[in-house]
Amino acid sequence: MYSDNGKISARQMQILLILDVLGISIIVLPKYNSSLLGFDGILLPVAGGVLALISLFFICRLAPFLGEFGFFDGLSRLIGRFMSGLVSLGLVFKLIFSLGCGIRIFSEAAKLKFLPNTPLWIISGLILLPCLYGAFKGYESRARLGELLVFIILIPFLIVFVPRIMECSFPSVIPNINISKDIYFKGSLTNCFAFTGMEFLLLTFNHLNNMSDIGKKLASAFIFALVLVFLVNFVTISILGDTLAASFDFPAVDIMDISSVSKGKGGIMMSIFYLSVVIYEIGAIYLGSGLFGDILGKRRSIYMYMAAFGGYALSLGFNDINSVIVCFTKINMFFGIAYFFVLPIFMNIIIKLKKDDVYA
Amino acid sequence: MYKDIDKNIEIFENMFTDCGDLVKRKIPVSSTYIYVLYFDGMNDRTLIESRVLDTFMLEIRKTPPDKFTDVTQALINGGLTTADFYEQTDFEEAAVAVMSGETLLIIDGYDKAIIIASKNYPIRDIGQPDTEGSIEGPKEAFNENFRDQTALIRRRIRDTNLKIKQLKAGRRSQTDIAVIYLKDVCRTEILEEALKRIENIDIDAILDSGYLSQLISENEMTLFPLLQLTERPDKAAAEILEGRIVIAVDTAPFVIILPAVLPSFYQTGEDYYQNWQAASLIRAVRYIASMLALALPALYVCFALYNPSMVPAELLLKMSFAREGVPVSGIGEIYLMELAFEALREAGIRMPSSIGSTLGIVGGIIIGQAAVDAGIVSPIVVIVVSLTGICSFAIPQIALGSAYRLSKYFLLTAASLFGFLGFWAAFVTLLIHLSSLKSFGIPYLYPFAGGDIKGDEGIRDTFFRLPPRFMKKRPVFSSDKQKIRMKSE
Amino acid sequence: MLKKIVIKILFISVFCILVSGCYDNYDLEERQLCTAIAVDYSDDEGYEIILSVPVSEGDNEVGRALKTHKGKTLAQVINDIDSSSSKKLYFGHTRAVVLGMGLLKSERAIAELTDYLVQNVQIDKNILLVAAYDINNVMQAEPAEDKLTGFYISGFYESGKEEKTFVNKENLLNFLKDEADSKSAAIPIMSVEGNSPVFGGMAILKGTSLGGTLSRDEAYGFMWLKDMGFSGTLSSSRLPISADIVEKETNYGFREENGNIVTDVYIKAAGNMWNYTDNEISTNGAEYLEAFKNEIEMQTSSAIKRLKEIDCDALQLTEALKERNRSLYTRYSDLISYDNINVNIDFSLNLV
Repeated sequence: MYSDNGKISARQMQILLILDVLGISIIVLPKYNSSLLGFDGILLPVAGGVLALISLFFICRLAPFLGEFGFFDGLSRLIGRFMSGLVSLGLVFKLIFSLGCGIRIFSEAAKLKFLPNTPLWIISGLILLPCLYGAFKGYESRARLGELLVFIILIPFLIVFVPRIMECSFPSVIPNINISKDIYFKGSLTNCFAFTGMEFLLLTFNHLNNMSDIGKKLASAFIFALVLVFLVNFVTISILGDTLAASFDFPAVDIMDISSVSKGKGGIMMSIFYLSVVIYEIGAIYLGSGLFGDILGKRRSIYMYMAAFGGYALSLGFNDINSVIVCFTKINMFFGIAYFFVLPIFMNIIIKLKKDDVYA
Repeated sequence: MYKDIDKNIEIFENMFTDCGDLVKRKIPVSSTYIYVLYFDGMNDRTLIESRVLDTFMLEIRKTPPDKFTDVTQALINGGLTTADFYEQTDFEEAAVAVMSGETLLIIDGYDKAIIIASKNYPIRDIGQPDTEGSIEGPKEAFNENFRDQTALIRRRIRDTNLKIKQLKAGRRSQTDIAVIYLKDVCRTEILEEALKRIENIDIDAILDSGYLSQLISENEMTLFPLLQLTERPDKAAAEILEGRIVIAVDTAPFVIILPAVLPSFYQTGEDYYQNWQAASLIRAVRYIASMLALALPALYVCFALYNPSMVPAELLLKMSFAREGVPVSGIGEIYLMELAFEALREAGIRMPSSIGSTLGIVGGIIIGQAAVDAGIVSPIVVIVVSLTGICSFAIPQIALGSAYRLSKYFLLTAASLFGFLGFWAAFVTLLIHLSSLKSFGIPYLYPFAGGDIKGDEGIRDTFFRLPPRFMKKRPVFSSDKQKIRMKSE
Repeated sequence: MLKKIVIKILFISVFCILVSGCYDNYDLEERQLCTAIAVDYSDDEGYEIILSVPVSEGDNEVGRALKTHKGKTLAQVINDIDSSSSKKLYFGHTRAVVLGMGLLKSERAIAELTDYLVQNVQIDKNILLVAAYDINNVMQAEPAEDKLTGFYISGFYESGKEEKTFVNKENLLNFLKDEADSKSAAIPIMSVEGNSPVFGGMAILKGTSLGGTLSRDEAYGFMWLKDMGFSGTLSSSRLPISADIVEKETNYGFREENGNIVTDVYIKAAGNMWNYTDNEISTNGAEYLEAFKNEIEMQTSSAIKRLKEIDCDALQLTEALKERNRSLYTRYSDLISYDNINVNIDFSLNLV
């Protein structure tokens, strides 16, 4: 047959990476950055992006290995089945947790902008159902969906954020050197870990049909996504000012509300972000349940229901939007360090040390 | 078959008892007997009478029987004044041939039946295309005759690589099916898959290509057509040249084209006969119209009932004043009008054409003017519904148009319940569904998604139709060895 | 077995979600559009809110009605508004909020109102804010060209057509930003003369409540001094002449002098004067130029004087300093004073 089931091309992988990175970060970061560092928060995504690129470098070095064996089996060859199971379970938890946070954050935004009287559990369910359906259709279908949606998602950037660059005051970007390095570092790490979807790479190299130059390709895709995140963050903080950006729940959405092209249509524009959240969440359900199946020895469709339901229950467990973001940043900090940095570096070292044993 | 003619006759007569339209006769010729069997009305009677029976009964009888060394061979080689016959030893196969309109000839002492090609059943002439009309380009359309279909295609492609593989399907109908393709251009794996699927069909009858297309399609649950139908020979020939496979079915005026991807439903033959600017404009209009046919009522509900801030204030006031006193709710109104439109459309198809046009006018007046005047519906809803209807007719393929029409209700329901969020959720679900579809292994949304092939030019023939020199390569359906269709000068 | 249960659960959940829609669905005729809101406040009587709503007056004719509600707290009034009509009020097309002087004087009332405006998702964050000495007066005015209150208020600011004066507008978002940045904001005052809106000066907020008002001339001076573009007509009080302002640019320069920051304001403007020969005063235009320059000088100096009295940074010089001279800002941000402002006017006149 012309296309192999479950295999995606490098371009599709790039597009998915862009969408996954955008998903939650554009909604969460402007508020977080401006409340942490005020105007200086404008540069945080760049710092976070540099850290993420370092992580990407190590992850991409694992591509041939993971492409051949898959994550769970590959890791089992390095550290044994039991330990590999534990590490994988952690990753499953991180995926489900991010899924829950993503749904809750977006449901809150949707409730605020579209459906103020509709109960939250219905909105969350409504957002989740297409994701579950998408997960059932497999990874190849997700990649093709991404190819379509990436064009729709670029619309708000092109008509809202790019034209507003002119109104921004550039001197405000100059960082204030008096702020302590610790806060900067913490902020950068949080930004780095808010780029959700990087962890998907660990699980998806075995879906890739062509490994050549994958590192460069993914890095360029990531940088593109980073430019978009930076643009949203910069325009939002610069136009609203640090105080307002920190006090609004979804400052990036409010920016769209007040832009002359999309005046009063911010809600509609925001709904476009829904598409990238959908892509991210399809991935989380599919990969989370798949990895869980790998640990137990067999992939079953029931795990997808479980993953979706887990994310749904988690999303309803939070008190309000602020507690979601606090939880999201804190838990992500732990898992981010573990899965963005420690694990890839560790795996690289082991593969280098016992190359012959691993591939035997 | 037996050598004894009477045994053979007995078997055939047992098979065809109570067949009033059967013509059969045992005739002594020279020193032997022949037996002729055919169905009246299904074959060319003059051919049989003048070319076969004439020689047998007049010419051969002139020669005394003892002059023949081998009467049978003399009859076959000297008596049959036609080139188109073959020998058959199997009773069942022979019976099928007779039922297909051929004439059966049995000679005493010869253990093979002779099947003389004499099909000539009542058929329609080659007419003009009804559903794929065009201003420029050929005006021919396929008729129900299978042989005419293959002839119309072969006439357009005079290449020895054009292969017409004939099969039969349907246990009782024994329908003739021809798989037509360019051997070197089409993808072998798709061809093999298509042949396999046709061979695996086990159904009593195939009465139309619609039967076949459902039986060999990959996903029967989807609303979207995974195979394309056409009644235009020029279109079929063009698709064969792109490496696709055409399946002609006897008794069906539409041939099947496979594989089919979504953009191929937006292409018509005329697009390639006009200049590229005009063709591109009309292409773009089709895409926009199909989006409106799909989403307009749902968007109306989102804007008017959930997010009126999107509607300019002056217009909103007019709409809101117009709705004062309307007894049906805003959503009910739209469903009501859609229902009326569907009924009108169905009635228009079933009605004889002389009444049909009256119905259109009456329906238009009743639904449009009177309903608004009576205050049952508001004018804007009439505009929305009729615009949606018009747009759905701008899609060249009926199958795709009805897929959009059904999907429209899905979007409308979701939008009615949850406004914009519901709309996007339904829209994404639809997109997920579309991106999961494949037609014979080709992603259904190619080249918008899954078209990530080096040097692929598929996208140049979608929203726009670029000039021929920008489309030198064949699309994804063709074999990798035969990608170039136009050589650079 | 398990699969069947899963399918049942899924079916039930889909069903639940589907049957539970339409929470936010209102038919068009159930919504009551509101084009403008006016709010006033006094410590004794509490809030007074006037809403202007369009009503149908037969065949495609649109009229309007004013609804007045009073109550001790904002929540009470809003409750009162909601329960007073069978229709649901819709603020998606509200163009302007008229703020009474009483409201501007009360810090708590402003905070409560702006909070309500921000929280209400239907309300555009670009909504116009207008101050008025008498909100009833502004709401009841009915200029011939626009019957709907919100439309004529926004129309007045959009083209500046009335009286051909240049006008400054303030919207909710800018207001919040100004308050957050410099603890000061300027809201134009609208008054009504014979059923038509006129520019009536400016209300200057100091901190979060009214610091003082600028008269019309002082407000013009304020607009000359502020870094923003405008267009309009400049008339001279000494000569019966006027010019259309076609170009205006204000720039700030900051320097350090004797431990203080000195602000140099550079105003560059150009005006077109039409039919000047009709006045038969002079032929070379020098007198006109002088007159206009004097007019601008007079307006700016009176504005500076008044702003000094009010004692707040309504021109947002601190923000400008932060943008233009970061090092000076980090050392001196508190010391910006309206005593040390030099105004340089570069006005050119085209005689057309």
